[in-house]
Amino acid sequence: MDISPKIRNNLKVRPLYILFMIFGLQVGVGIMGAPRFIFMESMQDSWISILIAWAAMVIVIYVMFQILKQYPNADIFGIQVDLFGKWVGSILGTIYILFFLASLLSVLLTYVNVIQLFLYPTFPPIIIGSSVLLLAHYCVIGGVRSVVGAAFLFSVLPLWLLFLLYDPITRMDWYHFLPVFQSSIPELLKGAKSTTYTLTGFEILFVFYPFLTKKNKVLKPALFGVTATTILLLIFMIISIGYFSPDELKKDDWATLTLFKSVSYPFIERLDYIVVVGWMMVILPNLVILLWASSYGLKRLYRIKQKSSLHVTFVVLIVLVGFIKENHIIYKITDYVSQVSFWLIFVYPLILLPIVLIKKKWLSKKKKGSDAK
Amino acid sequence: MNYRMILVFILSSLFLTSCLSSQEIERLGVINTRGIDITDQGEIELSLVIFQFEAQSQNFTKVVSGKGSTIKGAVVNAGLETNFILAPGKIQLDLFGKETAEKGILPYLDTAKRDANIPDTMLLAVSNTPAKDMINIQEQNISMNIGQFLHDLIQENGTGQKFPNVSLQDFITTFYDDGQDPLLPIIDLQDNKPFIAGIGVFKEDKLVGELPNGDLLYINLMEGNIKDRWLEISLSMEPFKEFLKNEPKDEEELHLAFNIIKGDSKSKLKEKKSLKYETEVMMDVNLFEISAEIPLDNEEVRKKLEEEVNKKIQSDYERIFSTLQELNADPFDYGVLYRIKKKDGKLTTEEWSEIYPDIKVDFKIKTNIIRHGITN
Repeated sequence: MDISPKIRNNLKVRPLYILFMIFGLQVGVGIMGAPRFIFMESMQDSWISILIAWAAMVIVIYVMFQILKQYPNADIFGIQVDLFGKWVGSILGTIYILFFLASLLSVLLTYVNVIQLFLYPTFPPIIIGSSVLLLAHYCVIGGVRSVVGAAFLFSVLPLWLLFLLYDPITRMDWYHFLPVFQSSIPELLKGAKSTTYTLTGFEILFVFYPFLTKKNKVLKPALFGVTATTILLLIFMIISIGYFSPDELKKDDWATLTLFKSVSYPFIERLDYIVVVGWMMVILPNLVILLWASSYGLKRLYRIKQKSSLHVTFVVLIVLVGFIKENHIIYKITDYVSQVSFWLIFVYPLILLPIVLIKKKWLSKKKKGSDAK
Repeated sequence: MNYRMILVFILSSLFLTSCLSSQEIERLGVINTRGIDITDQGEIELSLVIFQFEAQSQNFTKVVSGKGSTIKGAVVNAGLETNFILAPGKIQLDLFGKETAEKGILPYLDTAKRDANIPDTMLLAVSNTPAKDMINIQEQNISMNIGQFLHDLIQENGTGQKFPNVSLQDFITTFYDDGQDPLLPIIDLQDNKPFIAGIGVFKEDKLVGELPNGDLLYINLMEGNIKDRWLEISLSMEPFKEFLKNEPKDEEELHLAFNIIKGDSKSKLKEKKSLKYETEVMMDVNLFEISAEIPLDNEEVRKKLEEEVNKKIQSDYERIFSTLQELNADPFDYGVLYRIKKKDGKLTTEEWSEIYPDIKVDFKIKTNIIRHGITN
């Protein structure tokens, strides 16, 4: 396979769009429950944990950018084949694809779970799952440009939901933050680690890089993307700490959604219903980008036609969503994805960078040697 | 996309609607208020005020009741009494009978929190009579549906302030917060008409005592900013006798009515070791009514009046606070101030229950009479 895929120029997009790709993929179902998981580790200092996570992300993005810079136009699938040979490289690439599919499954399952919990307990999961996935499938069929379009549109559209937060903000109790700096450093780091599931998504840079024009301008929008997500998470975290009492927050699986439950107007009494439905817009970029990334990866590695791999993934996912309905299995899958993503997304690039650099040095030395002869 | 595909989509969207259980409004009994009592046998007795939208019936509201060992069971039981499906999505008020509240209301709130269908904005209140009696009042007396009436009664009195407007979420948060205890309004019947009779003081989730409804203003001052509220106060005539212009009458008391333009309070822990607190209450007031003529132009008289008002309010606060200390309930959040000064920032309820009766609070009142209207 080619290490650097040849992308037609009309398929390429401006570097700014990586911001929306990252933001759209990061913000999803994770943020609905994130405050609780972070709070369980680092209590009222959770906001510090989020800042730590942000710093980690900035470093990793920088490292990813350095890796990609060593090649003219490569993605992670090509780089791995180049570094480790065809077999190992393909296996590593397959792991990435499986990870994308697993995240896709967990997003889908979690959202179906929330719909059943908040709106219709008897709604068959297979119907919700297939109707949402059909939409994503339709979008991916439209090609990479429609994927980018969806990512842009659906990361901007749901932002109005933030205005509804004025009500919980007025009910906040700032004493909940005191005393500050109570959590120890390990607790803060654990809290930062528990953001992993929410913050995964910037790995798309590894896959999407060849589709961007002006490679030297990619770093900034990518950093802005993760910063935007961090700010969003920080807003939800701070409001949750102030709004809930500690013991309550530790029990609330969907803290972010519960925040919207106290908002009420004379003409719409239960705004939380609208928020839960509106959240479909938030998760749509997740589904679209993950579906595209996995099918594109299969095409790159095994030369499977994107359409046929899409159809197969679609059917497999629908069947899985139909069968998995126990809460604890869904949590287990989510937890598993979160564990894997920590190593694959946060740690793996840090290992990859020295290998790439050493190989480059070795190559240039060899070249010099052969030139001298 | 060809026409056949489009047809398939349209057809499937038609058939897919059957996946949801239908909820037609004509067949729903929308629960508006729940009254919760415990019978002598230890069963939960629910009295529900429901809205029904039926063309043939003149009455929009109906009261049904049911018994069960869980709330949900009681709702199902109540459903046997009506030809409607009971829907809990718009409950506005949970009313607890006094005896139920004394045993603790958390178990009933837990199910409400667990069920995503029940709104967090639902208000809570305690009824002095069994909740059942309150809900079964004849509508002629209040000219509207009792559930709506009680909800509005509480909400109107709490507009712009926190109390007595306590929602499910507020109560739960206060309950789980260390070093804080909730308050709920107590509703009673007078000539078959409901009114806010007092303030129920809770320890954890149990009703332990009551403050008179006259203290509502003082409580609100402690909860946060207040604006445009009336303060009626009676002072002893003694200090003002010398200033009276007219013949000194036999009246022993001087009655005053103020409008509070702005009121605020601030508490802080002065000394952690000796548990000394200081609470400052600041009020800007306009004088609207006075039962005797005293020359308020006179700087000295005005100072004197402010001073006396301060003294009176201070003694009121001290009375309220000593009652609260006796009940060992801490709705004024002194425990929170103690907690944030502690090293690890944690304070268990048991710990605070031991410390709380020993704390000393110094109430400092600052009344500032801004206007006193026509002077004579």
